[in-house]
Amino acid sequence: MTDSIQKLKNLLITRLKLKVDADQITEDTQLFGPEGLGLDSIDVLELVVGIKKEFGVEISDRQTAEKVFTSVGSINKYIEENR
Amino acid sequence: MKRIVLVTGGSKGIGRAVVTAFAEAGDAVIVSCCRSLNEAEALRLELFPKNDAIFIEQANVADYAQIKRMINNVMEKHGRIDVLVNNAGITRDSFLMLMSERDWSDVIDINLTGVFNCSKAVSEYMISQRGGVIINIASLSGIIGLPGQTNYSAAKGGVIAFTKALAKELAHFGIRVNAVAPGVIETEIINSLNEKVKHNFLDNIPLKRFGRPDEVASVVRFLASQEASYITGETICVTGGLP
Repeated sequence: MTDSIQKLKNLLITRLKLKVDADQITEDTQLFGPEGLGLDSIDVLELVVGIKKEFGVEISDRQTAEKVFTSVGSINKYIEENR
Repeated sequence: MKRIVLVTGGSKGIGRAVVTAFAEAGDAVIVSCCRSLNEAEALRLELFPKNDAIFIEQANVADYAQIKRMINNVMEKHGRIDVLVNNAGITRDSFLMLMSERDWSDVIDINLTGVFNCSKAVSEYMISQRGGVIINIASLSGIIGLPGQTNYSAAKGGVIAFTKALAKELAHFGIRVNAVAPGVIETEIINSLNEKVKHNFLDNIPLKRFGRPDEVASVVRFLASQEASYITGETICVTGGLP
């Protein structure tokens, strides 16, 4: 497991105040819907700010956001490619 | 005498209903569109049995040179413009933090600068005529502000303020300027939403249904008529009770 995914999991749990353990989150975990983390659009804004602060990676347009914010793995991939 | 009515963005949605309402009342209607020429032509053919005075002009409202050319064409062909309905508009929704500069400027250019361009181009003729009516299609979004629509809310709020200011400038010449602010109207955009989102919308609307394009069009026609002769600088909400 890469360093960034662990940091990303911590970021998700602390910034979004998720009531799950880091072990329960995998790269395949979806961000939206009852099967996933159940995030909403306001959470996405919180994540955009958190990712910029923690990893220095900026997401500033809707098309990129739609691509990046699907699963935990897709966020991690984008961070790894752009940090 | 037939009135000469110009409707921008007249081939689809609310614009289409506005064109239909004026055409059915016997006015000559110029449908201005940018990319939807096929839809405009289909509308012209549909209305033809009732009214053969429907004309199509292609121009991008965001481009003053194109609008000036279009208005000059209309004046050459018809000799006057009695009613301008500034309806052309687009949405490019996203939260501000995820909004590209392009999404911001496209919405401002078409929804707000487009109103400036068309109003400026017709006003010199309306002043010479000593009469005319300008009706701007605003939005509830421009009054209450909607999340994900900072660009659209800013543009439509701008249109409402523009309406008030221009009404004061042109009142002296017998020209009235008003706006209509529709709420959630059944158009392609609304029909494409999923049932859950539609339900959430409906829950918040006092009349518990979406508006129909013809319900907006009838208010536009009223504002363009002599029955509204003492109304100017006003914005009329057609929102089913919102906000």
